[in-house]
Amino acid sequence: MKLILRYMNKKDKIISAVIMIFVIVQVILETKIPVIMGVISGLLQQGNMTAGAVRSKGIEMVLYALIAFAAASIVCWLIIDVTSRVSNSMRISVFGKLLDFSLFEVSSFGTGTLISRCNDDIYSVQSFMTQSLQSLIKAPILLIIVFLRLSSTEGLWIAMSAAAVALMAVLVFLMFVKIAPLVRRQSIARDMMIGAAHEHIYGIRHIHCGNRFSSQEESYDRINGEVVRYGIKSKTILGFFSPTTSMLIYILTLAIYISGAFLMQKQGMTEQAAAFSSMVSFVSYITFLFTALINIVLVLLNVPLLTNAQGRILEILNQENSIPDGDFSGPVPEHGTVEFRQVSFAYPEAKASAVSDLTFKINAGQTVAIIGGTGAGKTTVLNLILRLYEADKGEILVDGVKVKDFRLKALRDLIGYVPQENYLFSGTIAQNIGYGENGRFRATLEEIQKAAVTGQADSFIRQKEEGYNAGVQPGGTNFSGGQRQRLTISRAICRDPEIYIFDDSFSALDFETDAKLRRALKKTTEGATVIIVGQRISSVRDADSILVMDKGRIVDQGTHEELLMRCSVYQEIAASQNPEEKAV
Amino acid sequence: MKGQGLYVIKRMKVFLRPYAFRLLAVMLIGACGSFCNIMIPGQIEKISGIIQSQIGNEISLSSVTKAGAVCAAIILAMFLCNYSYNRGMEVYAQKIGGDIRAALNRKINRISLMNLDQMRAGDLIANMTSDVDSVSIAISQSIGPLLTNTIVLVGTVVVMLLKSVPLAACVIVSTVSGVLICMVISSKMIPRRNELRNELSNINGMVDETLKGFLVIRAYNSEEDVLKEFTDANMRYTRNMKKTQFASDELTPLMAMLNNITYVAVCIVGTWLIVSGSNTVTIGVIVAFLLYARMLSTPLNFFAAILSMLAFTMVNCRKILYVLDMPENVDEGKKEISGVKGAVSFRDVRFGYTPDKEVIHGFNAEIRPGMKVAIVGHTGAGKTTLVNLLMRFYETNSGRILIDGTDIKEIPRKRLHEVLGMVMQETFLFHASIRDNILYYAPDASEEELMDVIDKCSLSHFIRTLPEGLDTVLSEKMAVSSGQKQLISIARTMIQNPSILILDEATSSVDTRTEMLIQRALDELSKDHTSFVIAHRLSTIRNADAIFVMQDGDIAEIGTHEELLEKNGIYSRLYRSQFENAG
Repeated sequence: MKLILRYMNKKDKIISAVIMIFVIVQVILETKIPVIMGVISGLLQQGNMTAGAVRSKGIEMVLYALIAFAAASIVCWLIIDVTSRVSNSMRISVFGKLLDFSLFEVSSFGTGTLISRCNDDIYSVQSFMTQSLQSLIKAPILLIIVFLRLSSTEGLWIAMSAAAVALMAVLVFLMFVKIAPLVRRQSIARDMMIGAAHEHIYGIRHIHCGNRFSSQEESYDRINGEVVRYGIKSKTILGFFSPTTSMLIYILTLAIYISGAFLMQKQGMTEQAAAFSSMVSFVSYITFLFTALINIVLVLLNVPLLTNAQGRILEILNQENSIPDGDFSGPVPEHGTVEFRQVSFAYPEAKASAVSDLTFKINAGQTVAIIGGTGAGKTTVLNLILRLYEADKGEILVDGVKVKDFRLKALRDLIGYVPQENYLFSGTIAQNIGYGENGRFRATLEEIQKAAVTGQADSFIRQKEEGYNAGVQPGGTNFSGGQRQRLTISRAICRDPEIYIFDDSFSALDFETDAKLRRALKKTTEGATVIIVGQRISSVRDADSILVMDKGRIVDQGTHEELLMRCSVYQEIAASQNPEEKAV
Repeated sequence: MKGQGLYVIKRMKVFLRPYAFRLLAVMLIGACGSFCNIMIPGQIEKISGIIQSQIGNEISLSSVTKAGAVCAAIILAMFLCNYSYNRGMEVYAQKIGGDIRAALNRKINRISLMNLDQMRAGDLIANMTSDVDSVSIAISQSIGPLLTNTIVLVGTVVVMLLKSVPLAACVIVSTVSGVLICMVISSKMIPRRNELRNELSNINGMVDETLKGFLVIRAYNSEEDVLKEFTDANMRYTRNMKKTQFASDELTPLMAMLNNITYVAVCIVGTWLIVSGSNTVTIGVIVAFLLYARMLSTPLNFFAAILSMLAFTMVNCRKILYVLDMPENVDEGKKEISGVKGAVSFRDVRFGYTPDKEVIHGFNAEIRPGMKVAIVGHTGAGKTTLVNLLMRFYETNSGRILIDGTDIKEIPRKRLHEVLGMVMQETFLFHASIRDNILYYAPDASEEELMDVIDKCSLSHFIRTLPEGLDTVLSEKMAVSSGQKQLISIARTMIQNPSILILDEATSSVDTRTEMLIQRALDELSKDHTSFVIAHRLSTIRNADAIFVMQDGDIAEIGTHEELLEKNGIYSRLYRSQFENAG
């Protein structure tokens, strides 16, 4: 409930008050009908009923029913109005929060659970609101009004009814205690099942290669068994509820009749007749009473699901961002520079630092390459420049400003980044190349085409029937690895940044395309700072300066020729790629 | 449409069959409960009658308590029946749901990869979650109650007619007309609900994509764009939801009003009958009819709702069957080849993802045992496709691929994948320990073999830095670099020790120094073994026995490095371009 209240604005709260009033009207009128029935039965008993009286009582009852219906319809519309607004703003704000996360938060939650929290859990809260809020408001009011009306009748019956209600309350409470942990464990089991299915689909070729079908099926069946087991456990507890309620209603009715017989046994005729008719209307009230109770309990039964979902959503909303936004948005004192001052960083849960004690400076307009072994920390350096992760120690400066001080948006406006994993979004090719915002302009089709020409993507785009409007599937799966790489490079070019960052962005390209691209890039990036992470000597040799990294440290820095002369790590790399290099 | 519906029922029946008898038993118990349920108002009416008939005299308690005891016994029986029924239905509904999920899972292992590759993971997961859930709910809430509700409906009507025809007519006319109204409204809502569901899954898809492309969104400052798009989609969804929701929620007050009208009608007609001197109707009868009217509303509401509910479930079932009916991998091979020498022949192999667009046009090649074959060419030339055909991930349209003279279609898939070992272009790690990941293709390998492979793949240092060494479970939280992932993939294939080795861009993200070390190990592994290497780094392929230069699904050139350079064709152009970029 806490979560729902959080998203109600003033207007919603006023509407809620109005809803209350209409509900009270509706309930009073609906419960009036059995009262009239009591009157009728009293008149009948005494033999005073006439056809005219029947008609006037009948009209009265129909009128109440119709007004109650009108009130209920208004309530229905208003509730939908409030709940839809609330669930809408909740979904948007959770999504907005997600967009503010840093990579650290995303990876520590895990993509799978974030997806299920944003989709399934919000949906649970939303359907709770649409399905249950109405009963939740109506039932207590009904309960109070029924009890108020009953208070004029026999004390014993009220006591019995109250006992039945109390008994139900106890049962519901016990059920709750039992069911809450089951629901939680079931949702964990379901998360695991979803994870297993993901893995299954993406790892299918490996399962074929290793003939691991039976072990895959075994482990899936185990998780699936858990889901079924907790499902059965929680559902059977729920299944206990409705038979118990109807038993209670009937037993109570029965008890009232029998106790009524006892009460009336020794009374005179007129008292007996009066007691009988009040008994009849009391019994019909009990139905109301229990309708109200059943409604409350049906809502309550969903509460464990709601609390579970709500808890998972609140975890997202309450997650503190490990990378707070700075407030510097310019103007910057210098352009196109990147500087590291004794920077160290370790990934969460890793024993060793990914990079340690890095110090270097990249000047405006320089092309700097970073080369080094697998796990040397090259990608980490790039992530730190973009402040996708926060350095543990030391300072990183871009354009002479500490990245911590920058508004993240302003920092990233300066940079065109081509990540190692080349992700494309569903949409069109043009949308993908013109992706994002750089604080200055939105790319026109002309600029997009220009960027694609430089990125060597134009030729294959033009071969498509729809050209730049050709569709891209989520992730870009309808393009080959090399095509994806060319599109992501074009995307960075289109941004026209001060600083280009290429993370091993040429690995899927054949040499011919690679060479063409490089020539074209050279012209485009003239004046801009370029940082390249690469594996091939050929992609780094003409850099102004090459940083050689090994095990998270910079072992040397210099030009290709200098490093070939003095740096053993670099020599080894060079030798491994091209034995003829020495001869050249 | 009708035929399709029958087909869906016929296919889904398979999942019900194992539980058919037990489900039937449970439903019969439920029917008993319903019978008790119908009897109870009559019993209460009897008690009320006993009391009423004695008004004016001293009431005989023994007859009241006797009737009360009978009634209480029936109530208890009803409780027991209904509880066992509910429990039983839920148990089997969940179990059947579990069985369907397991069947989907097994199916994914068998679907031909051509088809599987075209499916979205999100859709398959929705099959296993929301679609299956909907079937479970349909079993416990629509199919199960079908019998009990029919009994309550028919039974109540019969009992009412026996007691008083005019009052029964009152109840039946007003409730049935109410249900008809509901049915009309809810059946009109079916298409709109489907539309709404599509909008919701679109929104869910946006969340999915946002998380997958998170890095890019943050780096390109497109948070605002994404949020705006998301907000717009949500606004649309909310607007449509409001209307649809109102139409379906409004049914509740509508039904409540109709219930009230029924109530009023029974009261008025009953009183009128008493006043006009009917001898069949008493106050007790009116009370009983009021209970019957309420009782009748449950099955009628049920029948009003079941139509649209089942219509939804049919959609879910169709989605499940769409997967279950997908074509499977053919595995008719019987020849258990042994002592594989490693000769591979491609004879006029043709293949296209769609029949009208061929991408491999009559590929021919003979590879002698022990040869190292490099496959080079531009992206999209068909290199990976060729390997997919050899692995039988995809089936050729025509032509044959032979290993030691045996058509690969005659070799059981299991055996084929023991003979062929492949390191794939896209690295993939399972959410399991590093040990299990490396042992994935050869779970029975010894500890020494494992250590040996780890050493050869330069993984020892990396594994030492992990908190729990080899037993560290790999997850998103661990920062495993692309290069490290590739090393693990290579180790996985190396330990399998296959007769024929396929390396598809196996070392593209590994630094060249490590690559050289691994290359040495791979060379050792492929000594006397046939191997296929797809690579862009020409340094890794220059010592191949034969280089296939592919272009547009054909071999454009064949030869050794030296021969091809001399030829001055595509290969030499590719090769030279690697030194050109500086200038």
